[in-house]
Amino acid sequence: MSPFLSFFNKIDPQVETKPKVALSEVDHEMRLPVLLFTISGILWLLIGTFFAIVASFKMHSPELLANFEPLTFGRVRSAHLNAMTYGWANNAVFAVGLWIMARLCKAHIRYASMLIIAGVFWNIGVTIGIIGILTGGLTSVEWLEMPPQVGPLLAFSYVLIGMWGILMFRFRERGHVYVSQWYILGALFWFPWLYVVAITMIFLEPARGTIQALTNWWFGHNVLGLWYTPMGLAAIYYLLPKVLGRPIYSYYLSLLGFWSLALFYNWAGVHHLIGGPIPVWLISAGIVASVMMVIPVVVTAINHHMSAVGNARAVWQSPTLRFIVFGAMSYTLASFFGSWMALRSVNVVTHFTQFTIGHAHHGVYAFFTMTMFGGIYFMMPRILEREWPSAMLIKVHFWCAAIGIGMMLVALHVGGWIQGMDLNNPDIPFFSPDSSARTILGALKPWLFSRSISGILLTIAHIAFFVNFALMLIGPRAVRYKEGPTLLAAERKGA
Amino acid sequence: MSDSPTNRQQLPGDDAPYDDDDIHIIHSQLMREKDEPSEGFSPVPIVLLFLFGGLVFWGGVYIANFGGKFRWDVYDPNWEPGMTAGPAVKDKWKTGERLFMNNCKACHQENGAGVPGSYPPLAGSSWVVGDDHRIVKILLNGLSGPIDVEGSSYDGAMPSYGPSGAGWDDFKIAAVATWVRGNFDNGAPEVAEETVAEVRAETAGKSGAWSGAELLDAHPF
Repeated sequence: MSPFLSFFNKIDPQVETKPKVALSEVDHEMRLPVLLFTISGILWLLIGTFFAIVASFKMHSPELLANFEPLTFGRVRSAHLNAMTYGWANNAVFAVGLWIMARLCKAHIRYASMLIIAGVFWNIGVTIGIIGILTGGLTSVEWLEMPPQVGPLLAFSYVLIGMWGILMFRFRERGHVYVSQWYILGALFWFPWLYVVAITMIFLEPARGTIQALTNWWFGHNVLGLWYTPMGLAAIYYLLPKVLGRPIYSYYLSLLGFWSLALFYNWAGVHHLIGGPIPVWLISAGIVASVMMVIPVVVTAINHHMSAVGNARAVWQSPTLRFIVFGAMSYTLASFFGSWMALRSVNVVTHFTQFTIGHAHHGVYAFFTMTMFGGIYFMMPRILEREWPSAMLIKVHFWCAAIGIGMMLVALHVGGWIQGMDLNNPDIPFFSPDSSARTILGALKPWLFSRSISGILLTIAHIAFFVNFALMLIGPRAVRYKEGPTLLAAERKGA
Repeated sequence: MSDSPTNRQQLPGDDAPYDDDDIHIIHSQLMREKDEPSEGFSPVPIVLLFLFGGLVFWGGVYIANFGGKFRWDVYDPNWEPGMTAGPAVKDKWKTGERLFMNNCKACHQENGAGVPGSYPPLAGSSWVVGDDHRIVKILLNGLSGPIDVEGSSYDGAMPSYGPSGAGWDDFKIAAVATWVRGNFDNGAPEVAEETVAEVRAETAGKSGAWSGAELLDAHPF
């Protein structure tokens, strides 16, 4: 065989490499770290949801808990953001992302204790940070509100986790490197780069003037773009073909999607500063990169769609796929919105409005969080060798989450657009003592109220998820003996 | 962290006996697990190439039009070569109005009439018009104690906007003084930045606010 062909043989999935390590062994060896991260993640999800509800109600009923200092709006809003980001989302990424990495590497797990130590310290760091925010020690830097003193602790924990992931990859079973592994490996390098540069340039050795704002939004946007997004896509790329038992449509599209994401996303954060006092070429470059994000998004959407097409019933039946497909569709939609919002003519309306908040939840919840839910639904039965106790609770989780986030997105996007148009109209006052007058506040209030309703739906979803998970974890042994996985719709055959 | 892999990997035929439940579990684990994911090699649809070509072209045009020629000192997306770039032209009237609205309006009111008994008026006040050194001194060091303005007496304290207060530079002091002197039908001439610099140098040793008597001695109406 020519060297040329043998090169392609390495990436040709048809060539069987006999795995030396069974998947069930990987699952078993990963049990403790995955459980640690998943349990912490779900607890943070509940805590973050509580903060979110309080913050949301304060937007239309400001008298609520107004005299209780730790839960004043400025603190509780940041507590919500940080609990969800560093508590829920990162723990979920560590659990699902590292587990997928371990499975795809098909090697025995080394140094699992590294993960346990890192996981414990990470969660201690986040706890200190959230307490710091609630007691008034927060910084004014969005996405980095935790007192800067916890930065080194989080960075240290992360380094252990990142190194573990890279070591896992280093000791993988040789052969084809699957697309999910590219994304996870990339993200493991990108996140520490983002975090350390941001902490250094904003807190430790502060850069001058607007460079701080630039660093802030480069970081804030890329936490989603170069950390959650690749991890979420890795989960979709692994779980979609895995559950359906079909290959991913095209290796070439995967390749194009990965590299165009790596190339363009890093630039895009500057669009948060459109109209700000930074040189205009930086902003224009950010806008172009934001629009260029259409390329990886279209490519990934086609690849996922062609892999899943014609399997609607299987998608409906599998708890994993329901969430994953919801997440994948939201990724496409949220990214198109993001590219559109980066244009100056649109941004002049959406900037400084609830529209942006809606867009952030579109990405982090409708895409990322739903995908992680799907990942946990797939992962836990294999980790615990138990089945999900209740299909009903999964359905409650899915429907409340799907309807809740849908409602929130409509409320914030429509309300935010109206708010933006009003803000640009000098004839409309922000507030007027005359209650019948047309004011920005008055027009926005019903939309903020419906956002709170959607928040209650999401709370129900999260409690259903938590109860189901807790029952699975501590419930009677009998759940192990059920035949086959917990599915959401009647089986026709097999599956 | 747990039992070693060799203990774990029990295969049919091993010494360890299985009971029915174990076999059931192992089988369901095997049955549910589909193959690890793989990739097909379908080609990239050709239409995407045109889409991407179009996007890249648009990106180039956008940067060419709104990129400010990659200059560090261009902040306006509609900047063209030849336009004055960099710091905006200093306009005393614009700056003065902004400073007045943000700092003076709360006491002296938007129409400059002040609040009878509490804050003296600026509109039609002999303290404002005439010798411009007077208003500049008040702005630089403040004014406290009883004064008489157009027949009404006031006893308050005007804060300093100079070195012992807000720390405004010569341009800002000149701007707000010009605006106050030129508005409210006061019709007094502009105050030059140089005048402010002169007064600032003259009164460098002065600490605390002026009194009305001090000012009237130096600059009578």
